[in-house]
Amino acid sequence: MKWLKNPKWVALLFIMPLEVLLNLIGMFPFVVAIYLSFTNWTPVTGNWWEASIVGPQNYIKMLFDANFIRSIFLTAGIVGFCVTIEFLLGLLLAFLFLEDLLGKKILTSLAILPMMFIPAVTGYVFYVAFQSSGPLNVTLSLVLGTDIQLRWLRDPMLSFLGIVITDVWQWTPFMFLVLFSGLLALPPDPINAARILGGSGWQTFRDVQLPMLKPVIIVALLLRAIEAFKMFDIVYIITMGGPGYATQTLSLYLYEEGFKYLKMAYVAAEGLAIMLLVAIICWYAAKPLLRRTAA
Amino acid sequence: MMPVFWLVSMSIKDPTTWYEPSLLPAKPTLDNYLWLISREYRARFSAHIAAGVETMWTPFINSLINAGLGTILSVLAGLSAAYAMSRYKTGGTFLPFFILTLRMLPPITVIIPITVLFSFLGLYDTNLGMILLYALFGLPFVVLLMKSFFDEIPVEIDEAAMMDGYSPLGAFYKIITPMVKPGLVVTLLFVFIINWSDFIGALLLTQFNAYTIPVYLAKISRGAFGTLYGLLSALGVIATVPLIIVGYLIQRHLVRGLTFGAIKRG
Repeated sequence: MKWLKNPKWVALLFIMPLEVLLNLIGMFPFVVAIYLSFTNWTPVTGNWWEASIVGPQNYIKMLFDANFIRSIFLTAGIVGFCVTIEFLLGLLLAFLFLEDLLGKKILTSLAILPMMFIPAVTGYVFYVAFQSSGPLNVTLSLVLGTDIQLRWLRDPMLSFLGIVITDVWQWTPFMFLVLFSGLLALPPDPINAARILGGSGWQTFRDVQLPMLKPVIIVALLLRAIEAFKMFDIVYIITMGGPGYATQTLSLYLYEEGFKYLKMAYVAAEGLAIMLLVAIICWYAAKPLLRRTAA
Repeated sequence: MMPVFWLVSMSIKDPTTWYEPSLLPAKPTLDNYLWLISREYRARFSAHIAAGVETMWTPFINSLINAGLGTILSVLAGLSAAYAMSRYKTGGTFLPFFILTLRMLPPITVIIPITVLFSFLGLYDTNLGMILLYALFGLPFVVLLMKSFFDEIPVEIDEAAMMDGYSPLGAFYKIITPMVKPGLVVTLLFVFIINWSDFIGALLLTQFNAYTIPVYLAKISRGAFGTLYGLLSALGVIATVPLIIVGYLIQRHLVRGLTFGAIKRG
């Protein structure tokens, strides 16, 4: 058993289950998707393994596809807004919960509650809420004293805002929890040292804790952004693409192309292109993370 | 918090008041819940929906099994991998990133090939198949999150532990892992939530045996006269309960102070 002490072997042993699982299930669909993207297969033309290869025309076609490009930018915009707001709110909450609050356990349960809803259910709830005569307008009217009759789902801007609101409501707890547990895992010595050396509360947070938190922050942002990019349930249920195409996110667009128009091969190509795009962006974003930050 | 109230209030309204923007229904009713739970209570709603649809127990239990075991499997496989990546840089800079790309693929793109693969392996509409799928989907989360939490802890602690006589494995189990416990339970919760709410995977890869709550939700909310908000909300509330329970259970571990006294710096 001596070899167990050798770090290299131990590392290999650790990785083994992961590798097996990945290769078994992950590779196959990926490879098939790549294959499909070079064909012009649709389900009506027969079996997919008999589809004829037509070269990279799918990839060329998608570069000129206005709907595709628009949905990318739209989705990027939504993700940008959502993730930023969620991050800031989550960070705020995380620091708040570091203090000793009254009824902390209950507050924590309440704070993470929105995340526990099945997205489809959240979608329905907010769908009802955004109706012209729905609870949201009623509440706003009560709070602001005047009669608010915003037509959330008829106006492109408001629909966009509505989606952002829904996503922020549902996923801020994610940011909160990740950042909070990140804060908890920080070794206390540097923080105490900074306090003793005279740093104010805010300074300590900014110059000591935030930098140490960097790996966790980057991961949280990355994970949330990648998930938000695939946002489907909420948009499908609340706006179904919005008035016209105002909120047609990427997933919605792919869904329409794939399941309504049955252009599966095209969807495969687009999906892979998106993945490549996102991968490149994340690669640059995650670079500081991949260096080990242990001091 | 308002939406939570809206959801609960919708779930106790009877069909005539579903569209009212009121918080407290005039005549609250538990009909929606009862419809979901038992067959005998179906008669009330037969005008609205097919009474032949099953009760919620099958999807509920399936959700628990698929999501629960899938999550546990993810965490087991990913935890050690994350540690290896953090400490020994296994797979260099590429592997963690490659794992992340697993989640970047829009599900629509790969769902058909996965269906084919599953039926080929005999995993279609089985709990085992779903568990494996959810384990796979959860891996990127587990690995990335846990790796970043491991990265937060300086290597000196590992070294100190090993100087005290622990083997690398021992150091991993006994010293480091408890230190990231908040991160671990949070990761567990997330992956569980993600798997619990999965819709597309369950929709296309299950039929009668292994289908889960989100699919069931979609099935029951189509009524002859429109969306059945009451049932939908009731199911939504019920579906949230296990998550709340897990969330509550992990609270004990979201405690600071596990690092106190771990090192005595000179």
